[in-house]
Amino acid sequence: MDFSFSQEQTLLQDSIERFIQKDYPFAARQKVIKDAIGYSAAHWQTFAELGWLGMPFPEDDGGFGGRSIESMITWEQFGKGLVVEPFLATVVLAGGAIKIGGTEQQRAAHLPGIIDGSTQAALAYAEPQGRFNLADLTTTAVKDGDDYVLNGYKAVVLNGPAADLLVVSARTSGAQRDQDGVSLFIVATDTQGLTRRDYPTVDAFRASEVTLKDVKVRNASLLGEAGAGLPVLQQAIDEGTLAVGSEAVGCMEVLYKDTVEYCKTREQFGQPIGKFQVLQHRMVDMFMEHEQAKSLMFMAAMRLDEGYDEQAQKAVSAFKVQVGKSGRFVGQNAVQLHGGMGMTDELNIGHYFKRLTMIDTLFGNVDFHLKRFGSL
Amino acid sequence: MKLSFREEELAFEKDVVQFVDEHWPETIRSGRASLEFARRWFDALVAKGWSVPQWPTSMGGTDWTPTQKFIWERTVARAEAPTWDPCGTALAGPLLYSFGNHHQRERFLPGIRALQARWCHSFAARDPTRIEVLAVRRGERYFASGRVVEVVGASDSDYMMGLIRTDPSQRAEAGLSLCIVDLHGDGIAVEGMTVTLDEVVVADAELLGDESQGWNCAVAVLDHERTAVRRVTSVRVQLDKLKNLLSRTPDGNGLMLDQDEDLCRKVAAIDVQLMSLEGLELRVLSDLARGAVPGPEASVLQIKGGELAIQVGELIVESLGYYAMPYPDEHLLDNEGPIGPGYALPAIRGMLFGRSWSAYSGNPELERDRVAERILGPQKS
Repeated sequence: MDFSFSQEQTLLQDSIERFIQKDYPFAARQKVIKDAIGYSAAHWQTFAELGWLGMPFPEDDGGFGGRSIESMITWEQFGKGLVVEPFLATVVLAGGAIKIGGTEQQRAAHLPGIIDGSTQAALAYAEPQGRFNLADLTTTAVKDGDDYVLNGYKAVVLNGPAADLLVVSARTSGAQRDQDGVSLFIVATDTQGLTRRDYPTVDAFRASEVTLKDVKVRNASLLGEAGAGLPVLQQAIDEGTLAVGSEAVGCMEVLYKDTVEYCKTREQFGQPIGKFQVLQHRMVDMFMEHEQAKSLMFMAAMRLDEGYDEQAQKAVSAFKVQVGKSGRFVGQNAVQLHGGMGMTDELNIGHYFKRLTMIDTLFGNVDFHLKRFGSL
Repeated sequence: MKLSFREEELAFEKDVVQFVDEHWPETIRSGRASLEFARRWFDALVAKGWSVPQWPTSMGGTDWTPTQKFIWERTVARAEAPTWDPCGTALAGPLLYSFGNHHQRERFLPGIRALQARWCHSFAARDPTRIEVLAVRRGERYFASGRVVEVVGASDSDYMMGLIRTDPSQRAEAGLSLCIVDLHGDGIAVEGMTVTLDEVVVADAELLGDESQGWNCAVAVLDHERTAVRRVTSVRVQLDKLKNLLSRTPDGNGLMLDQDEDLCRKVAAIDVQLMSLEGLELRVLSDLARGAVPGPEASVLQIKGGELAIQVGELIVESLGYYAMPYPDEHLLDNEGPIGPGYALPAIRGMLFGRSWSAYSGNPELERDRVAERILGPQKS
C-alpha cells in the first residue's frame, strides 16, 4: 500500500498545475467560452505537445501508457482551472471507447489523430428516454450488405459541434433495454443523414442533439463485436466518471480555499467574517467534504488500475455518490458565504458551482450511483 | 379562527387574477419570456398604477391592505410574471420618499415608478466600516473619491445609492452620508462590480437625508424590505412544476420518474415543509392585518423559504438528468423550438436565478442574527 506519487506522476501534476496557474487565468477562460468553438485551439495544441492527449493510451497505440492514476492527476488539476477544452469527450470517452473496444486497425486509424490533436471526437450514448441507462436505446443499426444503416436520436452529445467523428451506441439486436445487442459505431460527422443541433451548456461546454436518418457506415466502422458494445461503453463511461469526479475534487479545493481567503479579508462589523464561529464551522465542513471526496477519488483510481471488475465499478459509484453530495455542499456554501455576488458572472465561484451541479448529473447522479453501488 | 379570505378580498383577487391573465397571458408564461413580453407587462403595470403597489398612495403607490398586497404578490408569483429589479422599487424608492427632498423625489421617483431607471446600491452586507469613498468639502460641495466593491448589478445600472464618508474623523457608521450617484456622470468608472469615483461633485442639496445620518437611513429602509411572500409562492410554483416534470420524465427502465419511490419521498418531504411555511405566512399576514407587528417568526419565512427553494431547484436538476445541461440562447430557440423537453430550460433558469436571489435578499446568517437578537436579547458587542 502506497499513496505517494511516482516521480513521473509528480512531474505530470506539477506541469499541469503550472499551466493552469500561468496560462489559464479565469478572465481568459471567460473570453474563450464566448468564442465560436467555445475552447482554445491553441491550448489544445499545447495539450498535444505536452503529451497530455496521449497520456491515457498504450504505448503500442502511440500513447504514453498512463492509467487511472495519471487520469486522476490530470483531471484534479483541470478542475482547479475549470478547463473547457473537450478533453473528456475526445480523449476519455470517444478515445477511451476506441482504445477499449477497437481492433488494431481501428486504433491505428483513429488514435494517432486524437493524440496529435488533429481529431476531435465525441461519444453519442445518451437518449432522451434512457436517463442514465446505457442499454435503453431506440437508435438502431441494421446490417445491409457491406454496410450498417443507423437510425435514431442522440441527446446531449458533449463536444458534438467540434467533433470530426462520433462513437455512437445503437441496437443491432434485442429489445429496447436488453444488455445484449448493443453495438458501437465510429461515424464521421460529415456522413450523409447525420444532422446536429448545437448549443452551449449551463457549465459553458458545447453539445449537440444528433439525429441519424439512414446513416450508412461500412462494416469496418463497427467497434469490436456486434452486440457486445455495452461492456465497452460501460468501461469508457466509468473512466469518464473518474475523470469528472476528480475534476470535481479540484473544483471543491478551489472553492473551499477561496472561501477561506475571502472570509479572512471580508470584514463585517469591524472584524473579518472568518472570526464568526458559525462560519468557521461551515468552512471546516467544506474542508471535510473535500477530503472525503478526495479519499474516494484515490480509492476509485487505484481500484480501476487493479483491473476493470465489479470492485472497480463499485468504487467508481461510491466516488460519484460522494462527489455529488460533497460538490453540492461545498458549492452551495461557497456561493452563500460570498453573499450577493456568489452567483454573479464576474466572480469565479458561481462558475465552479455550475460545473459541480452538472458533474452531479453527468453519468448518473447520487441516487443512480447509490442504487448501482447497492446492486453490485 | 378561519382560513379563507373575506368576500371583498376574494373579489379583489378575482380582479387581480383577471388583470394578470390579460397582460401576462398563460400562452407566454411557461415558454420563453422574451424581453419584449416582459417590457409589455411592465408597461401594463405602469398604466394601471400597479408598478409600485407597496408605496404609499401619495407617492404613486396603492392604498391596498396587507391582505390585498399579499394577494397581489401571490398572484404575480403564481403567474411567474417578471419582477422589476427590487433595488429601485423596494430600496431606492422608499429611501427617496422617506428621506429625499422635493427636488430629489421629482427627479428620481418617476423613473422608478415607470420601471425604467435601473438602480444598484453600495450597502453590501451592511458593513459601515467598509465604506472607502471619502468626501472632501470645498465650499458648498463635496468632492467624493474612492472605490466601491461588490456592487451587484453596477454595470447595468443608471444610478447607485451610495454611502460616502463626509466626516473622516469618524469611523464606522457615524460620519456617513447618503447620496445618489449618477453612474453615467463625470468622474465615474464602472468595471464589473467595482465602481470608482474620482472627484465626483456632490452638492449639499444632493445628499439624501441629513448629513452623517446616511447609515441610519439605509438601515431603516433595508429593514423594511422583507417581502417573503413571493419566495414562498414561487417555491410552490416550482414544486408544482417538479411534480409535473416527474410524471413526464422517463426513468430509463420503462417507467416515469413519478414511480420512483426515493424521488417521491423527497418531494413529499418538501411539500410538508412548504405547507408549514404557507401556514406561517398566513399567521404573519393575520398579524399585519390586525395592525400588529410580526415577531421574529417572520424571519423563518425568509430563511426556510430560501432553503426550500434551493432543495426544489436541486430536485429539478436531478429529475431532468442530461437535459439539465443545455443552456441555449433564448433568441435562437424562437424558430426551432426547445432542446429536449420544453419545461427543462425554464426550470434550470428558475433554479439558477433562485439561488442568486437567496443570497441577494436576506442573507440567512444575518437573518439568523436578527432572530437571535430578538429571542435571546442583545448578547455581545
